[in-house]
Amino acid sequence: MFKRKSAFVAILLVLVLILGSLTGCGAKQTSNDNKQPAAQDKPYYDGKTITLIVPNSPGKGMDTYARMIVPYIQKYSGAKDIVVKNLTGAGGLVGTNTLWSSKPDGLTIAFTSIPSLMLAQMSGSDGVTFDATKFTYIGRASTEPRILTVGGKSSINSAEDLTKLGRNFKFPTQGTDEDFFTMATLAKSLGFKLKAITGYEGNADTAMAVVKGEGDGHITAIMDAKTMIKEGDKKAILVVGMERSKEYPDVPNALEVIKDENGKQMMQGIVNMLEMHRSFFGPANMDENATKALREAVWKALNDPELIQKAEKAGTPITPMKGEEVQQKVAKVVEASQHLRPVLKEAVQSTK
Amino acid sequence: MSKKLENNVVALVLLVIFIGFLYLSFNYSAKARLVPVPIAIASIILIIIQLLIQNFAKNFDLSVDPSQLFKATQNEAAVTNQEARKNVQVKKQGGGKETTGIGLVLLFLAMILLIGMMPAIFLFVLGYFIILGQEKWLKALIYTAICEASIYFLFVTILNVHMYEGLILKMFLG
Amino acid sequence: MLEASLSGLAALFTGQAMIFMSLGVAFGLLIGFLPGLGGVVAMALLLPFTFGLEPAAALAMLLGAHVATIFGSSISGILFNVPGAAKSVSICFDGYPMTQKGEGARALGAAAMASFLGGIFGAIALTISLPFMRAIMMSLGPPEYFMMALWGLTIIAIFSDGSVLKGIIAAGLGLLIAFIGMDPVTGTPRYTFGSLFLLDGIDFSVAVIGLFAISQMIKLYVKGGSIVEREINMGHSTVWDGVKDVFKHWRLVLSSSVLGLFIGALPGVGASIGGVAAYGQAVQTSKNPEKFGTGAVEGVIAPEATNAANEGGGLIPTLGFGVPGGESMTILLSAFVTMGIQPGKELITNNLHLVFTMVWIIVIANLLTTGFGIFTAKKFAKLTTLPGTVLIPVILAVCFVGAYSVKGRIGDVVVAAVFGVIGYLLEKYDYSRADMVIGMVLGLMLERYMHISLTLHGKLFFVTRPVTLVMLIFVLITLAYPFIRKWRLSRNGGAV
Repeated sequence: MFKRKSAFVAILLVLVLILGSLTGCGAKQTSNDNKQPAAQDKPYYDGKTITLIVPNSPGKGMDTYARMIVPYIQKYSGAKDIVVKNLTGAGGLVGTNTLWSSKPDGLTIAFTSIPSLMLAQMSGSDGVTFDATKFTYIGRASTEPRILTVGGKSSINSAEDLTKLGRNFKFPTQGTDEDFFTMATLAKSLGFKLKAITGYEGNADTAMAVVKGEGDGHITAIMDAKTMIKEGDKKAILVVGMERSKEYPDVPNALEVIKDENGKQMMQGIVNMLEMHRSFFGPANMDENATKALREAVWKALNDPELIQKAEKAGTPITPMKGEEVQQKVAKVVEASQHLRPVLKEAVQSTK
Repeated sequence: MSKKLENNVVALVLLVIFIGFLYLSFNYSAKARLVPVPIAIASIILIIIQLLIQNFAKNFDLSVDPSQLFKATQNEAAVTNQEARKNVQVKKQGGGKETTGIGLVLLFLAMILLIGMMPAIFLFVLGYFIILGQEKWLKALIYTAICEASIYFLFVTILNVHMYEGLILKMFLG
Repeated sequence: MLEASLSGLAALFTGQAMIFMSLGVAFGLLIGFLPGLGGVVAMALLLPFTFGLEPAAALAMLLGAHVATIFGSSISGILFNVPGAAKSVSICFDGYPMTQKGEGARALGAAAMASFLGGIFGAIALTISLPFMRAIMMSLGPPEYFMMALWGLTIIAIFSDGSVLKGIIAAGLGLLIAFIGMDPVTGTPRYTFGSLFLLDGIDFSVAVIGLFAISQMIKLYVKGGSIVEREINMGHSTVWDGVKDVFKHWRLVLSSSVLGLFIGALPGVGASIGGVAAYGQAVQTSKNPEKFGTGAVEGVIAPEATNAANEGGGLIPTLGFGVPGGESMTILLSAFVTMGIQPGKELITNNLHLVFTMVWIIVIANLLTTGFGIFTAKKFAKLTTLPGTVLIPVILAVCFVGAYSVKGRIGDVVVAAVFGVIGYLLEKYDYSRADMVIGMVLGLMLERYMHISLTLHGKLFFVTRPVTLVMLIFVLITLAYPFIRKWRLSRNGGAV
């Protein structure tokens, strides 16, 4: 058995070596690539070390994304090293607060779920010291549309049924996360009554509650609901995103069915937030050269065919968006925030 | 401190903690304190009973379970067990003071906080081997190096943990 | 079905699958052995290496590692009172006292064998129950989960570790500590004093490292010498005694495995509760409940079998619904996505051989770990005869690093140290640490499901649902049991 252990160690070492040589090759390529455009004499990040704060636990979704992409950012930015630092705590607030107060020299950036941060801020969560609308956005790595599903045996079959329910829509949730706020906003803008049942332990727990019929429905990532929809355990009612989903072309988008203008604006704000999902961002007023260089490097990295293929294989697809575009979305969110704020605060209040 | 006094101090500390929990609970909404409040109150009542038993019950032996009514055979097992423990204790030597033991843990903690995880481990383990273990310098150094290297390999190389650097280093780096 | 089973087994007999399973098992044992880190970490670390492997090999590595962490963490729990993972904390209750008595090898042997049988049972039950497990899962809800938590708490009353009154007080402390942090129901930060660190609550695995491992090192320092003196160890118990013990208590193995299977199959009922529940059930059904906490072999067998059976249980909702039956199953699900495996009915109808591959992986991985356990137990047990002056600094170092690695927060190191001191004092003054841990495990579960039940079913939820009512009666019987026993004993005594 001890032999087996050492064999494992040997294989690990070999793997480390292979990975090391791969990134080494990558670095060489960069120097070649940089000669061709020759726009800048010396790239901003040449020889520098970037610290990437990931406010989520190691090994979980967000962290997996970050670690998968990092080598490619290093390749295109020319940075000597990118250190991934998991600063967990308080649903990402600890890491994000740290970033907010770090030097805006472009050497400390972060990667996490933007909507969680914005919603925490707008709903007046304790412990928020940052202003998410002021961050310097560097680029989006991915987003996945969300979907409102109800139990397979539910009497609800369409968005219309939601408003005609004649009672509260029972919504099992694990707490005040982005899906909770999305649901609250949806209820407000569509005009149906919501009864949030908080205290569930996680997504699996709430999914079972919906399948069993204990709760009426909830919002999740499409990927998490796929199996249950296919098996008839759940029914898809609405897609929450910019457009309809390719997988469920018959399921309407939430923005299509909302009639009320105010409601539409609120929902648009939420959708914009959700669109920013997994993004890289830096402190407010980040150094201009750094911002430019990093946005470019991240965009190139996210379009690297090798990374795209790898991501596809790992089931964590990349849907890149340029940093400038992400930054523009922030403006839209701010616009909707006046209407959103009271709704969010009311939703939080309803759980107390 | 006599055993009785020690027991009372521990019980009083617990009482204060429970009252603290109860007091804080009333800052929260009715729903948020629904479960903690009864538990805190029950704990307070129980600890007060415990205090009363400790001080006023007659024939109360501290090492024996006061709730014999729950288990008829409890005492026998407890006693033999304790005898066994005592026998073992007689055989062994080289124990230290309780306060030193707790102090060592806190010292180690302080070292980690100040100079960072890996250096603190190196110094603490080496120091322990030499001062308390009375090992020879070279042997202690080799053992410590092996320990340090294994921890580094397991946690940093394989598990990819980014070790804490310590307050002093942080101050220098800003 | 037999055909699918055989083809599932055949898929494993390729060089690649076998090598990767062995690697996974070795890695799992190692990770399990380290304090604070369990199956989730092992799987998360191995996941990237599975990309590009054929499904059988990838699953063999992931599941193999997960299976092995259970026994791995029991090794450190039994020998050093350092629970390797949160869910094996209950193995310390009796495993470590056994080691102190010089029965370390026996405890390890019993754990290895119990883990083996539990794992196999879980695998078989997984196969049989796939069709109708669904119905059971659909019929249990928050009120029943609440009753389970309540029943878990009643274990305290029959616990023999020190005074009962003090035990209940310790449990109260544990419950209140569990409430520190963000309240899962209202989102209120409770008892945090405005600290963001405390907002996440006291991490259970970190607290356990402090309560059991660090406090034990303080105790060892005070006592001097080593955990086990050489004269005692050279003696009367062997690995095979432990193996035999397991067969002697086959009924306990069976009931613990069933329990583990159910707890694994219910999302929302954490695995840490499994070990505690199994322990309570063992105390309850034992003829000598007073022996528990002082080194009863049943106290090792029950949690180990439960934890091992948990595996098969966790796979049931994962494969049947696509709902992960636990945190580690989330990682397995993401591995399915990479392999293009779609859980649900289709998997069971069209890809049944793949299900069987997983069943066989659990069986073979358990065989490997048990083999490892039985043949190395003696050597491992010798470790405990090392002098304290060597063990204390090294174990303290590993504990602190382990506490830090759980979430990478330095505050957790402070928590571990503080709980180390608390644990030492509690033990010295006979406030049962085990009871406190039970309180910590059950606190939030109790609160969550009480609130959900109240909202869904109203104030009388515990009598309006038949299943819940039956469980409530069961809880009451558990509570009354010691009194009934006492009454029966005194009556018998009177007759003589």
